Order: sequence, then structure tokens, then C-alpha cells
Amino acid sequence: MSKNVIEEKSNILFVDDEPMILSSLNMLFKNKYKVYLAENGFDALEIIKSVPIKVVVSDQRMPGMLGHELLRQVKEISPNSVRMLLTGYSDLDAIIGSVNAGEVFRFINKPWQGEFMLYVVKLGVEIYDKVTKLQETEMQKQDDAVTEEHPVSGHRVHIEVEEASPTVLFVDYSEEETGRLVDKYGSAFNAVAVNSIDAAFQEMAKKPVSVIVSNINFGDVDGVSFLDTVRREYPNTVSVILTEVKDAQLAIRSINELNVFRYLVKPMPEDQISHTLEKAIERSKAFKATPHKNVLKMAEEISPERMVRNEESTLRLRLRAAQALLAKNKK
Amino acid sequence: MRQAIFSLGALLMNRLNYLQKFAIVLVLLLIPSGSLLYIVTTQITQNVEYSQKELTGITYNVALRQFYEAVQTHRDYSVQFFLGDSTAEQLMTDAQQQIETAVLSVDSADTQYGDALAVREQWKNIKIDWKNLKSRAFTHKIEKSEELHNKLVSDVLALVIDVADNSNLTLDTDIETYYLMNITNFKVLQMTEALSQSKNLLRAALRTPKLLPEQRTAFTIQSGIVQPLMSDIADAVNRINTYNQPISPVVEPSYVDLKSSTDQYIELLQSEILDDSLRIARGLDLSILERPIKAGLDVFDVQAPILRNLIEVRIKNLEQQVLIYIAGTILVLIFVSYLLGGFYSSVIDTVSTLENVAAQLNEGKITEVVEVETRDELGRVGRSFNQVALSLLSRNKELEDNRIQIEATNRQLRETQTALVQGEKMASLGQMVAGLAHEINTPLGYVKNNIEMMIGNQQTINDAVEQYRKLLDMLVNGVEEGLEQTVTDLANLSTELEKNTVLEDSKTMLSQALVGTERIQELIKNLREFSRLDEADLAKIDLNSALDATLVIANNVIKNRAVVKKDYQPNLMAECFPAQYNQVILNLLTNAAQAIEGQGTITIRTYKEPGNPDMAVVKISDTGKGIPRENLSKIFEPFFTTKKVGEGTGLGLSISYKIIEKHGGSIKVESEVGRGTDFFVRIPVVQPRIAKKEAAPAA
Repeated sequence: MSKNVIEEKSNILFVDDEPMILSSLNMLFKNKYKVYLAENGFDALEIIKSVPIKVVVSDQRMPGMLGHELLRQVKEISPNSVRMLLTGYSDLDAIIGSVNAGEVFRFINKPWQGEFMLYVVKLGVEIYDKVTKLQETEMQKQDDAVTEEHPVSGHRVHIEVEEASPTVLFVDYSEEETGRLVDKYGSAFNAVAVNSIDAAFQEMAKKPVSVIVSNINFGDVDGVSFLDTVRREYPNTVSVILTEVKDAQLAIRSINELNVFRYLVKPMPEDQISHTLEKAIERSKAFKATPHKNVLKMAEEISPERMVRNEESTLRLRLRAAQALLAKNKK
Repeated sequence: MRQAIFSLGALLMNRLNYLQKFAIVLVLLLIPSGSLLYIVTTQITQNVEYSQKELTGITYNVALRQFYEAVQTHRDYSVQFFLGDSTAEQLMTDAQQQIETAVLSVDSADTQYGDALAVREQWKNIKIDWKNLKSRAFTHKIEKSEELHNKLVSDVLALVIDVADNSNLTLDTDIETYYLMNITNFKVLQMTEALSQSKNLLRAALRTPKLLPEQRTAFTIQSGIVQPLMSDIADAVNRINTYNQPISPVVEPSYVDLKSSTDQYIELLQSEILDDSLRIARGLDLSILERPIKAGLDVFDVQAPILRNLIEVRIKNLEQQVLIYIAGTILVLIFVSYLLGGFYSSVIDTVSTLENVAAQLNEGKITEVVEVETRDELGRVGRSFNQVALSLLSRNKELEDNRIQIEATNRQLRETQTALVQGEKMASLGQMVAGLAHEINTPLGYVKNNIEMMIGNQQTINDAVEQYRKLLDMLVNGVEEGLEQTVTDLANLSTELEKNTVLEDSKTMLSQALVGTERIQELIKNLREFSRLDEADLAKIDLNSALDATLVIANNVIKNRAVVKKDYQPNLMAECFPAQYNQVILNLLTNAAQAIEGQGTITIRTYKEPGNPDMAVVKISDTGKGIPRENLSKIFEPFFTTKKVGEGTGLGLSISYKIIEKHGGSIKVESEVGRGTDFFVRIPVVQPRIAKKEAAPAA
């Protein structure tokens, strides 16, 4: 803001088919950022390809290309760009599409709060900066290690000894269903099925869990809060929601609060589930190897002020109790 | 076999009702039994008459017997008279008197029965002979008198036999009466005649010292007559003892005297009379013959009443028999009639019961079958009927249950349908709300953002204005202290404002906010146009503006998929229920947009049907994937959908179809896979009167 600071402004991109929106956002951000505007996905991709963009905020419904499709391509072209969806009305399909394909960081509804918008974009920019910086040091390290053995391909790092079989924890309310899932996928990875939240906590205290596949319909406890508690305690565990609940609000929360990896709606073809699980396991490995890939974790490090709800703290207590029980048993 | 044999009878019986059947059977039964009864009673009556004739014979002969005895007596006395017994004259006159009495009694019998017995003439001759004999009874010579007497007696005996013959007595083969008849009518009287003549022979013989040869011959002849007759009588009595024991105690004693006296006479005759050296003097007198004669007549007198009695009893029995036959037949007929009546009544009862049950069953009133009491074939029919009725009842119940179930299912179906239609309404409402929310939130987004920013800018502007006022105060008041600083600050502020284009931006923000609010206002207007909430009734609307309003609602769905091209015929007015019509258009536009994969075009054409200006047509064409031929006929069917489960109810087009149908119009579809689909919505420009009423409660 001050004149004397000679500092390159961060590039941010807004995509919306409504020029007035673009104009309005431009006026909001132009003083602090270098604002790029695009009225459709194709123009946006052109910009992304030519300029490093830290944050992309896109509308969902646009002629030619839907927002989540654009963000999916953005993720490929510029993986570090923090992706957000700004939409006038969120039907579940759009939300699920944005999380599953675009892996969006935030889902924002129109009309937005100016202040929140400024905060979120700023947060995005900082995440981008931090991730990029970490990545660069990582690259540096790797460049140093290149002479040793591994070429830079496939998995970039092999820091830990890979587990023989990563653990996938299924948390569901019906035993029959969990049993069936374990039967299906038990061979591909170490699948464990539990039918209650406390059992899940105990299982996670026993050994590291790569992926937690959970329903969000537990009756007494809000599933999103449950997964949030898990995420905070075990940041490297990737959460996948597999549910029959079609609730747009829950879905939005699962993106904004959990940064859920996938939101799958039952019934879901089995091959798709197993494909998702493979991806999730891969993601979990990446989290362990390069923590900066965990965008939400980055965000929390940058901006730790988050409300802790009552339910969350209760859940936390239950989690601690499970851990304590296990520790006692070990002794 | 049975049917072949009885086919004719069955043919007849099938034509008659049961009353007629029974009447026929009864009549056919009455005729032979009546005839039989008639024959039997006639037969018996003949027997009775036959026996009654026998009675007349007996009566006649009993009368003749008196006459016969009296004539014999007269002969006896006349013989004495001619032999010179003076006392005999008086006795003859007495005997004549007896004969006249006997003649009267025979006359009486003859008057009654003479004709029937055909003996009148004979009796008349006998009476004439008697008159002749009587007139010269005392003047004849002895030979002549004897001859006339003998002739009279033999005529009487002949008459007795004729009477017996003519009165059936001889013909009667009844073993009970035969021997009695034989004794009384033939044997005993002839025997007494023979004895009586023997008596006259003996009288004459007693007058001579020695029996003359011709006298001896006469005795031999007479005893030759008596002996076999006596033997016959004994034989007959023996027979009676054997065959008719009830009367033998009466018959037997009457005959004992005859037998012993006759035997005595025969013995005496052989030992004394027929001896060559006959000496009649040995105390032999006429009494030896008088005893058997009297005994013979006694036998007649005893046995004739017995015979009469027997025949009378027989007649009585026969008469009773007739009565029994008649009464028995009548009783049997009554009984048979009663049974037939019962049969008829049972048949009628069973049939009418079945009829009643059938009638009630037919009317559906009955719930239980009636017990059939008869155990015969008809009962079997009844039981079969009952089974049928039972199965009908259970079938009925089943049907009733089914009906109830179907009704329940129908009701459920209707409820489900209502729920589905409601669901479809809610879904399209949701779609509309989603579209509207998106459409409104977009301008609202920048309007709000601009206003928020304006509030910040306003502060900056306010600050600047404050500084200017301060500077102005200083200049006006000539304050020099701090003036330079204020000017510098103001210059900086101005640069800042300029650099951040605050003023310029503010203008833009406000004008754009205004545009935004105008957009929202426009949207609300379109929403009203679309929903026509204040126009639930039939209204004449401009189809083009209705289309435009609907397009705004559908914009959210369409804009990322298709470009809309319009080809409107200006001022295309039509009468319709706008809210319903718009619902149809929205449905078609949404479908069109959803049919497009990637980017496409939706073309909307409005026009009046060529050659039929009363029909307004909206044609909605898309460049989507098209509908396969096999699905084209099904797309208006309820629940037909190609969308994934949960994405579409499959009711949209079927509801649209109904709505347009109720408008008196039609929806047609043309499609080609890969090219796209054209929907034609035709509605009459003016709604017919009936439709105005009927279309109101649509969907």
C-alpha cells in the first residue's frame, strides 16, 4: 500500500461470464494485486499459461466451459495455483464436480463478503508463496541428491521406507456395508472396517492410517466435524467421503473445512471407488513426503485463527481417550 | 345304453313339469289297478251269484223234499187202502192235505226261483200229475195208482236232480260242499225211494205165505239199488270226515242211524227175506224199513241246512273279500298318491330351495349355502349345486378381496402419482429457484461488493473533503501556520485518490450497482411473467414475451451449453393458462439444453400454423444428441427417462403433454440421433369454451 515499497504485485485471476462481476472484483483487488480478468474458461487458460497466477477465482456456470472443468485444467497446468469457485447457486453436482475434479481450496457463494473475499485471496496468495518456496528448497535438495541415484521421475522422494500395505480405514454405520467393502478391497491394501467413531479413533491410535473413508451420516455426530477432528490430529490422513447424503451445505463444508479429497455419492461403481482409493493413497504418501502439498495444513499454519466448535472439542476428547486407552494397553 | 332305451320317455318327460309327470304316473297307475279291481270284484261277485243260485237250489229242494215225503206217504196209505185197510182212507186224506201244504211251499220257491232254475214247466207237470192222481185217488185200480205214484215220485226225484244241476249245486267243485250236496240231492232221496218201494214189496209179501219169484226179483233189484247208494253215502261221510272236519261232528251222528238201520235191513233181507223157504211170519214187519227211511230223511234234514250254512258262509266270505279288495286297493292308491305327493313336494321344495339360493346368489345377497335334506339324486344335484355355490361364494369373496386390494392399490397409485406429480412440480420449482438464485445472485454479487467498496471510498472522499474545508478555513481566516503542511497533505491525498482512481471507480461502482439493481428488477419482472401467479385463469398472452421470460428462468441451465437463436413471428397472441404453458416451455428448454453435449444451439421459432391460423406453434429445436427411434414413442409416457436414477422423475414430458392436451393442442416431436430434436407445441389461439372449464384444474 505504501508507495515506497517496491514490490511486485501478486497475480490473481478472476473468471466470470458477467463483466460487471469482473469489474467489481477488479476494483476490489486492483490496488493490492495484479488482477487478471477473463470472461470464459478458454481465455482464462490462455492467461494461466502465459503468467504465473497465484490464485484463480472462477464462476461455475459459464458458456463453453464449466468452472470446475477450468479448475481441473488449471490444476494440471499450474498445480500450485490456489483454486476457488465463486458461484451464484450451488447445486450438488457442481460442488462435487469442483471437489472431485478441480480439488478446489474454497467454495464461495455469491453474493460474497468483501472482507472475506480479501482474506481468502490473501490466504491463497500466501499458501502459493509458501508452497512454492518449500518446493524450491525441495527441488534444491533433490538437485543436490541427483548425483546419488534416483532420477527425478515417478515419486520424487523416498524418505521413509514404504509400508508394505497402506491402511485404509472404513468408517460406516452399517456393519454389513463395511464388511462388504472390506471383502472387496481388502486385498489391494490393508483395509480395516469399523462401525463407530470411537472404534475409528482407537484404530487410528494403533497405527498410521493413510486413507479414511467415511460416511457423514452418523446420527449423533456431524460427520464433517468427525473428519475435521481426524484431520487435525493426523494431517497426513486423506479423507474420502462416501455417502448417500446429498446435502449441498455439508458438501461445501467438507470442502471449506476439511479440504476433503473426494466426495463420493452412493451408489458408486466399485472400480471408481477403488480408483479413488488408489489416488487417495498416493495423495497420502505425497502428504508425508512433501507436507506443503497439504494445502489446508499450509493455510492453518499461515492463519491459525479458526473457531473451535464445541462438538469438535468433544470429539477431540473422545480421540484422546482412545489414544490413552491404547497407550495403557500397550504398557 | 340306458339313455338309448329311455330316450323317448326322457323326451316326453323333459317336456312336462313335475306336476304333470306325477299326474301321468298316477293316472297310468290308476287305470290298471282299477281294471284289476273291477275284474277281481266282478269275478267274486259272479262267485257270489253262483253260490246264491246254489242257495236257491237248496231252498227249492228242501221244499220238494216235503212234497216228496208226503207223496210217498200218500202212496203208502193208498197201497193200504187198495189192500183193503179202511182206516187208510182217512190217512190218505191227511196225506193229501200234507201234499197240498208241500205244494204251496214248493210253489212259493218256484215263484221265486223257478224261472232262474228253469224248472217251472217240470213242476207244473208234476202238479198236474198230482191233480190227476188226487182226483181219482180212491177210484183207481191198485196197479194204476201205484204206477202213477211211482211216476210222480220219480219225476220229483228227477226235478230234484235238475234243480241241483241248474242251481250249480252239482257243478260246484268245492270239496267242502260236494259230498254234502251229493248225499242230500242224489243219494239219500233215491235210497229212501228204493227203501220205500221195498217197504211196499214187503207189505205185499207179508200177505202171502211164500215169497213169489217175481217178488224175490223185485226185492233183489231194490236192495241192489240201496246197497251201492248206502256205500256211496258212507264213502261221502268218510270224505267229509277227512276234508271238512268242522262239520263232521254234526254230519256223523245224523248218518249213524241210517247206516245201522240200512245194514240191519240188508242183513235181514239176505238172511230171511231172500231165503227160498221164506217165512215172513217170524215177527218181521214193515218197521224194519220205516226206520232207515226215516233216518234217510233225517240225514237230508240235518245235512241240507249244513250245506246251506256252508254256502252262506262262503258267500259272506266272498262279499268280505270284495270289500277287502276294494278297500285294499283304495288304501294302496291313497298311499301311492301320498308317496307321490311327498315325492312331488320334496322335488318342488328342493328345486324351489335351490331356485331361491340361486336367485339370492345371483343377487349377491347370500353368504352361506342352504342344507339340502333329500338324499336322492336331486339331493346330489343340490349338493353339487352347493359345492358350486360354495366355490362361487369363495370366488366371490376372492373377487371382493381382489377388488378391495385393487382399490387400495389404485388409491395408493393415485396417491403415489399425486406425490410424483407434486415431486415433479417441486423438482421443476427447485430448478427454477436454482436458476433464479443464480441469476439474481450474480448482479447481487457485484451490487453488494460495489456498495461495500463505496462505503470505503466514501471515507476517503470524506477525508479529502475535510482537508479541503480545513484549507478553505485557513485561507479565509488568513491562518498561515500549518498551511503549507495542509496543502502538502491535500496534494498527497489527491494523488492517492487519483492513483487509486477512487472517484472514477466510485462513479463506475454506483452506475454498475444501478445496472445490477435494474437487472434484478428485470429478473423479478420476468419471474412474474413466467409464473403469472396473479393470472391463474385463462389469459391471452404474447407467446414471444412468455418465451423470453422463460428463457431468463432457464438461462442458468442454458447458458453454459447453448446459444439461443430466436425467430419470432411478432405479436403472436394465444389464449392459455400462462403458468402452465410456461411450465411446458421451461421443461422443453431445459430438456433441450440437457440434450446438448458440449456446446450447441437452441433455436426457438414461433409461428401460426400454415393453413390453420387458429393454431399458434412454438418450435424448440436443439442440436443435441437426439432421441433414438425406439424411444420416440415412449418419451411422453410417465416415468420414461434416460436420465440417471434420481436425476429425473420421468414425468416432465408426460405432464407437459397433458397440459397441452387440455389446452386443445398437441406436442409433436421430430428427432434424429446426432442431429438434434425438434419439439412442436401447438395450441389454439382461442380456447374452446369447454376447455376453458376443464383445463383449469390441470396438473
